[in-house]
Formats: sequence, structure tokens, C-alpha cells
Amino acid sequence: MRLANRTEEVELFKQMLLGEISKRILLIEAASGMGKSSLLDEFVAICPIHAKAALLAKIDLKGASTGIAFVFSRLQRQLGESHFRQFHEAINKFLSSGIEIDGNQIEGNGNRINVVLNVDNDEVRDIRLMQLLEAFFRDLQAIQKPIVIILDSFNLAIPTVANWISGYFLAEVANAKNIWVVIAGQSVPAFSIEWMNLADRRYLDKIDDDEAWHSFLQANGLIFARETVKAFVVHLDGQPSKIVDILTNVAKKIKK
Amino acid sequence: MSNNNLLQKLMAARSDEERSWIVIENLLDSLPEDVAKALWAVAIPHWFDTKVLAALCPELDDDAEEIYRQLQKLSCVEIFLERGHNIHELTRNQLLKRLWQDSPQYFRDLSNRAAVYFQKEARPEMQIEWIYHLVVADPEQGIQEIKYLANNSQNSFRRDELEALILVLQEQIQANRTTEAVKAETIYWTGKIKFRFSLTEESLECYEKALVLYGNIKDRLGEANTLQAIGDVLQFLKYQRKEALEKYDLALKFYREMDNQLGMANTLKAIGDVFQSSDRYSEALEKYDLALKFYREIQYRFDEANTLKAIGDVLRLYVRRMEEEESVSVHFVLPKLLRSITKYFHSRKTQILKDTNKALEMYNEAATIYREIGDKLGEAHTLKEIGDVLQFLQRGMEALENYEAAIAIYREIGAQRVEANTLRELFNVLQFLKRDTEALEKYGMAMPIYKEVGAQLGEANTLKVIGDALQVLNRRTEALEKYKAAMAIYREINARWGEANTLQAIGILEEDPVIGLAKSQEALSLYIEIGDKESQSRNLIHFTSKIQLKLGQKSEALSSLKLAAELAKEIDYEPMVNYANQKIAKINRDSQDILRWFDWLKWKLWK
Repeated sequence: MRLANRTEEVELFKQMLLGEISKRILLIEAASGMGKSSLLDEFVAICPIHAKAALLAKIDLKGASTGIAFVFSRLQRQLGESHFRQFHEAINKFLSSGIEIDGNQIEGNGNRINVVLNVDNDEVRDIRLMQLLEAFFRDLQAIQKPIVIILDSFNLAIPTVANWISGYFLAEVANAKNIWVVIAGQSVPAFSIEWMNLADRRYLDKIDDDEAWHSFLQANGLIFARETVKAFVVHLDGQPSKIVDILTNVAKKIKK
Repeated sequence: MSNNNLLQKLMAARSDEERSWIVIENLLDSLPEDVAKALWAVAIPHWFDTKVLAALCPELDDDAEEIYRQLQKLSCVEIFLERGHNIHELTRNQLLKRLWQDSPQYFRDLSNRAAVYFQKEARPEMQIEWIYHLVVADPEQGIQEIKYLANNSQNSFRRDELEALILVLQEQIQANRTTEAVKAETIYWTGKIKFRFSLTEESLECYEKALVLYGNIKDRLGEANTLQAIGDVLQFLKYQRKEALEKYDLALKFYREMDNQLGMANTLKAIGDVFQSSDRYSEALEKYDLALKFYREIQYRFDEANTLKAIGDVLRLYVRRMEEEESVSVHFVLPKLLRSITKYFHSRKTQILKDTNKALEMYNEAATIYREIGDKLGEAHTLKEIGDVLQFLQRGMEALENYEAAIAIYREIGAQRVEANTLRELFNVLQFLKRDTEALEKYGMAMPIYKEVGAQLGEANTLKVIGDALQVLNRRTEALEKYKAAMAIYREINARWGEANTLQAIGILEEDPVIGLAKSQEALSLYIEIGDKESQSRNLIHFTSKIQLKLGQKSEALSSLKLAAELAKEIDYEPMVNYANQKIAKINRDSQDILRWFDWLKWKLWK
């Protein structure tokens, strides 16, 4: 079930995809329960319509307990492993240059990346990470199709991942004209000089337009009197997740 | 509950939290008993599937699949990629809060079941989830596991896992569901992570909190570690070195009481670092020697190598300071004291040589250890330092060998920027060995690297030095070409000092002295703009006045030199003042000679 009245954000995203505006990075900030995830689902749904032949990847950063390797491996998996020739070459170059590997650790792509990145020296780690990132983006640019990357729960990303996304990752996005990125969370990256010209930031507030709620509920098969909807919207202070939760439940009870 | 009742309850609610609870309660009331029970239980972990559900509610094992299906239909349940589902954060927090308030023992029981389930798998996310539940179910074991995972993550350089653990543990701490000891340990590691990202104030805030908590539970080791960590932050904030030393001293006292050798070694090394950065070299050496002794005893090879390298660094800094003092003092030497001062300088020279050789010895030992333990970057950095020392000792061929070895490692690791910097050192040695063409070739190799890594300043500096070398080799046109390319980059990145230096060099190379003078004066204006008096003085002596003389502008040249002497005096640079005055005297002397020659000629002609 998607949300009522997030038209402005949806329109903005459509314009971005169609190249009507120069922005390619969209930051969606909102408190819990304001409907971020539903809005992202809407973005996913409209992607194929507005960006033809686009490749899409959606990652929830709350699961990224293994750090940057998680982000790399999920992006590869969702966009198609076969696109990442240069990235694999970069990993193999490191793996074949005498990095000691524990027998079991090497299995799986994420682990291979971690073997390369988990080194004793931050300087070496940064050097390697930069080389992997550059190879990764070279591969992405070589795809020559629009690529949409959606990253959710930015506030739950571990500091290493959050810092990396806000810095190097988005700086590379700025240089890759075929890539669009949406980042959502209770907090989002602070603007950086390297990509701020390409970014737009939106804050999701409550939805207290009862008419919009009424039509939205009707469209989803939840039939209520306009006054009832209005009363719930007012008393739940326009908080989307609570309104959806309670009216879905009330509708179920009525059906029974 | 009818719609009206529900609305009335919502109207009567006084807070957002109350309203949220009414929504959840309404949901729970509408669910079959087993599904409601399951919903309470699956709020405990961050994600769930059939197996997790069955582990949390063994009594529902037979129906777990069906209940899981029903839970998925709820609007507050969302997909957790690759792991199953989770309850939406807002609802989950409310359920956990109520459960902890109303039935803490049931909460602990559920946490215990979750801990048992997640412990079974070795994947990092499962281990993190296990400890997350353990700190509620069995805090004492929980704290041991935090320590183990934290140290293991540090030692195996898997810091991401530690960050993920600390992130989830903060939930339990904020909700006050665990002990002071768990809080202390979590906050201590939070401080460490903050410091890693240079968030110094936040880091200090965490450490101060942890220190109080460790004090409350009388955990001396925790206190000592935290004091040392505070010292590290204060040391990083260079202006607080005194405060850093105070913290380190107290930490050292605690470590001594516990006979904790690693703690003592780390703190002594840190104190040595503070002394080193405060130019208190003998005290730094004393602390490093003690730290080294401990590291050797407990066989901490990596730290042993780092300390050896630090000793080498201090000795070199000490030598550099002695040299500087010598070069300043020599200008104040009075003839009658010459003999005794010569003797003094001789003993200083012997000391310099002795310390340099000692530094070399330390670096060699450090390099051997780095090689043995496979720390390539440490080895490469130390080989470069060895090269620098050998260059200083004018052992050019050996310096070359070390630089080449360092470059090979940098290349292997992909550390391009340091590789390029080392190539520049190599260039200096080759120039010293009068192998200019080879030097140029090495320097040329540094350039594409700078270009590749986007280090524009490095690229411009390299172009400038190549220009200088070509000038020495009398390859004027090529030199000019390099200078112009360097200038373009300096201007692009607004590096005014580099731009001024290059303009000056171009000024001398210009065949037309009028253009040359204009360039040199342009450079001078830039130095004035930057406020660099030494460079202004140098420009006036070595460039502007020289070209002015070439153009026959004697009085202008004399004014330039007088101004140069004044500027040098302002910055207390005696040798430069003397040099400018010598040049003034020479011009005046030459003028006198010419006048005398004229007089002689006139007399001859009259005769």
C-alpha cells in the first residue's frame, strides 16, 4: 500500500529520471513512520516507466553489518554480476598480490572484498578502497544504461558506511552521468561541495490532507466516510504509518 | 472497540506515544491469541523468520509457518532483505518498551531464547545479534563477549563488525535494559569509534561518561584504558598536550598497580609521542626506550617496530635541530673565540654522526620486523626513511637502493602518492651523484602518477623541478615549456607560492631582460600578497636586482638590495642581510672602479 499525497516528491523523482532537471541525487529525510519506505516503493514502481531500460538496485543499509563490502556485493548482485569485470580484476589483483587469506574467509563475493579491505593500516585500506571504488564506477559507466540506486535507512548505517557514502561514493556518482541515487533515512548525508549541485533534499512531514487520505484509502479498497477519515487524520496528527495501521485494522474488523 | 470509542481514546490521549500505543493495542486486540503472542515475541530481535519465531515461542513450533504468514500480512511488518521480516521501528520500540515495563522477566526470557538461537551461527550479523540479546539475558557474559568481539575486530581489522555491534547495543543502553558495566564498555568503544572519525568532542564526551561508570563499578582496567584514550584525543588536539600528559601519567599509574605490561608500554609510547611533538627529544627517547623494553618482553612485534621507528625519527629530528643551531651560531662567531668554538663544533659533528648512525640502526631493525610480520606499508615507509638518512650521510648508492626497494613496495600496494614522493627523493640522490639524465627520467615517472591520482600540486611541483633540472643542463626551451605547464596548474588550483616561484624561474630564463624583469616583479607582487618576506628578500637579491643590473638600472638594483636587507632584518635572517649588504658594497665598489677608470682615461686624454 502506497501513501497519500507525496505527489511533490514523486514528481521531482520523475523529472530527475527524465532529465528535465540536472539533479541526480535525491535525499529524503523523515522521522520514523512518515512513510519513507512506502515512498521508496513508489520510486521503484515508477522507475521502469520513466527511465526506460534502467537498471535498479535498492539496498536497506540497516543490514550492512559487514560494512562497505555489503554495499558493493548487494549492488553487484542486483545490477548483475557480469557488469563488473574491472571491479573483479581489481579485487583479483589485490588477492593475488600476497594478501594472506584464511581458507574459509574467501568464499562469497562480500568476503573477497572484505579480505582486500580488512587490513591493519587505515592508509592502505583507503588506498585499496579508492581503487575498488574507481573500478566499480568505471564498470557502472560502461553499462551505458540509466542506473538507479536507492539506499534506505541511512541513519542505521554503521559510521564507516555512512561516511563513505557521504564522501567518496557520492563524489563518484557526481562524475557518472548515467547514475541516479536516492538516499532515505531519519538522517541523510550532509551536503558536500563535490556533489551538492546535483542534489535535492526533501523532508517528509505529516500528511494532514484528509481529502487525499480519503481518495487514497478508497483506491486501496478501504471504504470509510469522509468524516471518519478526517477524524482519524486529525487525532493521529497526520502521521502516515499510524493512520494506515489503524484504518487497515478497522476495515478488517468491519469486514469480519 | 467501535470507531467512536477508538476516536474518543485518541482524543483523550495526551502524547504522541499514548496515541501510538492506542494504535498498537487496537491491532493486538484484533489478532488471534497466538498471532498476538508471536508479535510480542518477534519484536525482541531485529529480524525474524519461521525459525526465529519457533525459537522464541517453542509452544507455537507446530504452527510457526502459518503464524509467520499471518504476521507478514500486518501493515507494521516489513521485509528485511535476505533475512526474513521485521517489525516497523515505531511499533517495535513501543512493544519493547511496554514489555520491559510490564514483564521484565519475560523480556529477559525471550532475550535468552533469542541469544541461544543466534549464537549457533558464526556469521557476523548473527554474532552481533547474539550479543545484543545476551547483554539483557546475561549481562556478565554479555560484557565478556563485547570485549572479545571488540578486541578480535581490532586485531583482525574487521572494524565494521565492531561498529555494527556498538550501534545495536546503544538501543539497549538508551532503553536502560542492561547493567552499568555493559554501559561503560559500550560507551568506551563508542568513544573509540567517534575518535576514528575525528569527532573529538563527541569522543571525549563518551570517554568522560565511561570513566565515571568504570569508577562506579571499580573497574580499574577500564579506567586506565579510558584515561589513555582521553590522552590520545588530547594529544591529537595539539594545543592540549599538557592535559594529555596528565591523563597518560594517571593511566600509567593504574597500569603499574595492575602490572599490566601492554598498558604500560602503550602509555609510555604515547607519552614519548607527546614529548616528540613538543621537541623534548631526550625525554621522548627515554620513554620510547622503556616502551620498547615492555613490547619486547610481551612480544608485540608490530608495536616494537613502531617504537623503533619512532626512536629513529626522534634521533633525526634531534640531529636536524643541532644542524640548524650550528648554521645560525656560525654567523656570530668572533675571531678570538674561533679556536674554542671550532672544537665545540667538532664534538657536535661527532654527536650528529653518532645519532644519525643510531637512527639508521633503529630503522633497519624496524624494517626487519615489518618485513617479518608482513606489514608492507610500514616496511616501505621505513625503507624511505633509511634512504633519507643515507642521503644525509652522503652514501648515495645505498640511499638509491633503499628508495628503489620502497618504491617497489609502494607500487605493489598501490600507494601512488607516496611512490611519487619517493621518486622525487630518488631524483635528488641521482642529482647528487651527478646522474642528471637518469634523475630526469625518474622524475618524469612521478608525473603521470600524480596526474592519475589527481594530485595537481604534486604534478605542478614535479614539472617545476624538471624545469630546474633542464635549466641546469642548459636545455632552456624545454625548461621554459615545463615551467609554463607548472604555472598553468598552480594558477588553476590557486597555489600562489608555487606560481611565484615558477614566475621567478621563468624571469631568469627569458632572453629579453625587460620581459624577465616583469616576470620577476610579478613574482615579487605575489610574495607580497602572500606575506612571505623571506621569498621577497630572496627574489630581490637573486632575481630582480640581477636583471636590473643587466639592464643597467644600477640605482634600482641598489634599492632592491636595500629593501631585501630590510626585509631579512625584519625576519631576523642574518645571513641574508649580510649577503644583500655584500652585494650593495660590491656594486658600489665596482662603480668606484669605473669612476677611477674614467678619471684615468680623462687624464690620459688631457695629457
